[in-house]
Amino acid sequence: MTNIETLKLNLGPQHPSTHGVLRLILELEGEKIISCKPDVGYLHRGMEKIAEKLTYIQYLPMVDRIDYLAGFFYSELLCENIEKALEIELSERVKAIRVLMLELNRIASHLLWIGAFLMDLGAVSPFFYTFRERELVLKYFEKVTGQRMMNNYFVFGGVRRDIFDLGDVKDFLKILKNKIKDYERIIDRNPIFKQRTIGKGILEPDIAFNDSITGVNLRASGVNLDFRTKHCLYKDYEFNPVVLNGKDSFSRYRARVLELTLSASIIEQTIEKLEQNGELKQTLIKPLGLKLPEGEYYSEIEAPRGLAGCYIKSTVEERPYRLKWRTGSYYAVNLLRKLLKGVYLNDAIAIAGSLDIILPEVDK
Amino acid sequence: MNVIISSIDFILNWSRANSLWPLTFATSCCGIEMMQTVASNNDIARFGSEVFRGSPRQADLLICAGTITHKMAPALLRLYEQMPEPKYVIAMGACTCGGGMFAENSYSVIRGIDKIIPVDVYLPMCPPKPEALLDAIKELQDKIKQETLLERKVFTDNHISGLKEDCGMLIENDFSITNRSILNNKGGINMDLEELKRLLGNSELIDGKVVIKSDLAKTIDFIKNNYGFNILKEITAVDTTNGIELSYRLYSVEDEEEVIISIVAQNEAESISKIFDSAVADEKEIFDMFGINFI
Amino acid sequence: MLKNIRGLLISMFTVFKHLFIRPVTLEYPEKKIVPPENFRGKPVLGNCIKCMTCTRVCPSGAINIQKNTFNIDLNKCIFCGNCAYYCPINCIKMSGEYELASSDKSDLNLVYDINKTGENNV
Repeated sequence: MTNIETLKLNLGPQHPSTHGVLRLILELEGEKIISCKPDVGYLHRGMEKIAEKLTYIQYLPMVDRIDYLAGFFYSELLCENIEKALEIELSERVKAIRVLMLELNRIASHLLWIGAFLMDLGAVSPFFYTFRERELVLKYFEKVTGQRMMNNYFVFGGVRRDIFDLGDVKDFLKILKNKIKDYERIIDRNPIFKQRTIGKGILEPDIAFNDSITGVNLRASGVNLDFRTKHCLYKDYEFNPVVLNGKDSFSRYRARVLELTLSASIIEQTIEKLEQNGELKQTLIKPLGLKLPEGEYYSEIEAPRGLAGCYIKSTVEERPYRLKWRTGSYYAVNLLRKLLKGVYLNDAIAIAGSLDIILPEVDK
Repeated sequence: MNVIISSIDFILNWSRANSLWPLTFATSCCGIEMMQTVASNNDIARFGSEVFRGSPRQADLLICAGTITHKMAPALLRLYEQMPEPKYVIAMGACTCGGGMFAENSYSVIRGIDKIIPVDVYLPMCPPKPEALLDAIKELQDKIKQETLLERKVFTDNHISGLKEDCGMLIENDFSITNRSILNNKGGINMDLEELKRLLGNSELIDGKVVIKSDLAKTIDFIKNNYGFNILKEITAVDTTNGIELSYRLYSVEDEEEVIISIVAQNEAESISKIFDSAVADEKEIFDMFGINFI
Repeated sequence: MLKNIRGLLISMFTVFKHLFIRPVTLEYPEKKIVPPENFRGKPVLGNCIKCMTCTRVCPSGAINIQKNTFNIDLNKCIFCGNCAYYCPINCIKMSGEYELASSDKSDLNLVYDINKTGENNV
């Protein structure tokens, strides 16, 4: 009995439940996974190297594609770095518009995750419900920015155009609040969902720190770490980060549902602000010949999938000397080596899905 | 005779066109719009294409949604070849039509999937609206209804794949390649607090860079254990004139402070994957991009 | 056990309620959707003065201006709207046209005659 044969199983790169092109090489002993090797790079498009060949203005529309579910966050990072370098002060209204868009984007991203995660577990109806609500957000984005997902709305020093039709957002928030109750009724009490998530994929805070996990995954392990509390855009807003103590897949799901409500409350505050001061004041810069002063710039923000950061090193030229992205999913993929060890194969998809991995963020 | 052939063509094409079962193949952004097309608002089921198949052997239609890189190309060709005849391809999004925004500058993206597999309908935009995808499916249905079986055969035969010889088994790739030499490291990290204090000099732990010359692992371990910097945010590598500058961005959850340790490496650097497990991922990336060997 | 059955019943009831709400599905091919005013669809050209700003802000190098022709390659264009936004005389406009699917790849190469004005799709 000492020599037990193991089976190598190749999951991906084309697998409907890996949320893209992740490849996991699993070693199985019976149905138990004894080792997991993630193989990344199937979507490596060279985003960081492209930046060195393009001017800042040219690169700005591309950064939306680094995380297509939360493109606004990456636009914001690049804009923030350049505003820091050129010492541009944003007006209150621009800040409020940006917070509104970021939080709407976070809602859209979490809604998609809820639908996709439940579909991984075999429940199809929530997918239709969450996508129906997500469509409302995308419609608003389309109306204001011009496209549904790749918005290219933030520019250096401001936004492309003033915001309008805030009534749509208010209506959406009303609908969302009702629908969240619906989701809770459908999903939270479902015994099959509970059995497949409660107590599965336990992520202890120590391991999470050691593996650089941030964002919702960390907060679902009972650590109060939300980079929004320190971010300059969110200074004037009152909110308490969602912190849950479950540490398992279920609490990661709950944390995301609660974040929907949190984002909705932040949006309500922004709408109040936007309705108070009317005029849009912004200092836009000329498109051609934009050069940053020499130095290193770093900006970071709490994206839906953990801490996102952008590092720029500039020698005085039109192009960055080096640009690097810090993304949350990359470390979550690395964590899979630990989390999938010793679990059964049927839990693997549930655990991997609960971390909210998205592949363009991993591969860049 | 002609009447029989054309009526066979008509019946076959009619049945083919109205039940196109797509393969679930989404690599990036366009895949999300494809999901949105399946969802209630656009409801692809109205066109007979709601049955998304996980296996290529049950699918008729390959909606290639998203960028195809050189690493992904063999997998794409393999999926296409596993699909049974008749099979159709929609190239969704600019990346699959002709490289899109990666056409000029990227080193790893295939400029159009028509270099690998024959494409029936091209759908530009980045990403297309769900309605545009429905329009593409309608366009494909029209095309199927018009062509004869002979024309179809000529269409597929004329296509010469540029990748066929490479499409063997996918290459075994080990994510944790940088770990290979860690095991050979002599002993553990011996903490010598007094010496490390001297190493760090008088530089206090404030927001800013701490530039060190050597003993990277010792320093980081010292900082982690004594100052509570328990998250390694990232490692950034920058190619400077002196060598590759590695910056380690450490964060303390309790004190909400950040410190940057930076070191200039030539070809080799000390691995800190024993101290922070997440460093494996970063070190692997830097090994791939800059050729720094972490030992 | 009873709790589980109760949970299932509640969720089934919530799903069942959806039978009675209005369907959200759009009737797309029959009723064409008019995209919003700011929508970034197929780029169209007006009076070009060949200032070349658009080629310098285009991220993907899709725009190619020759002596008499203005060429936008939809194989590369990512519809970011940079060219329309930074054009000094607003001659490039992002129209509302989004049904660009075609079985012929040469349709994706938009060629405009630079000397003509207005809607001059060649």
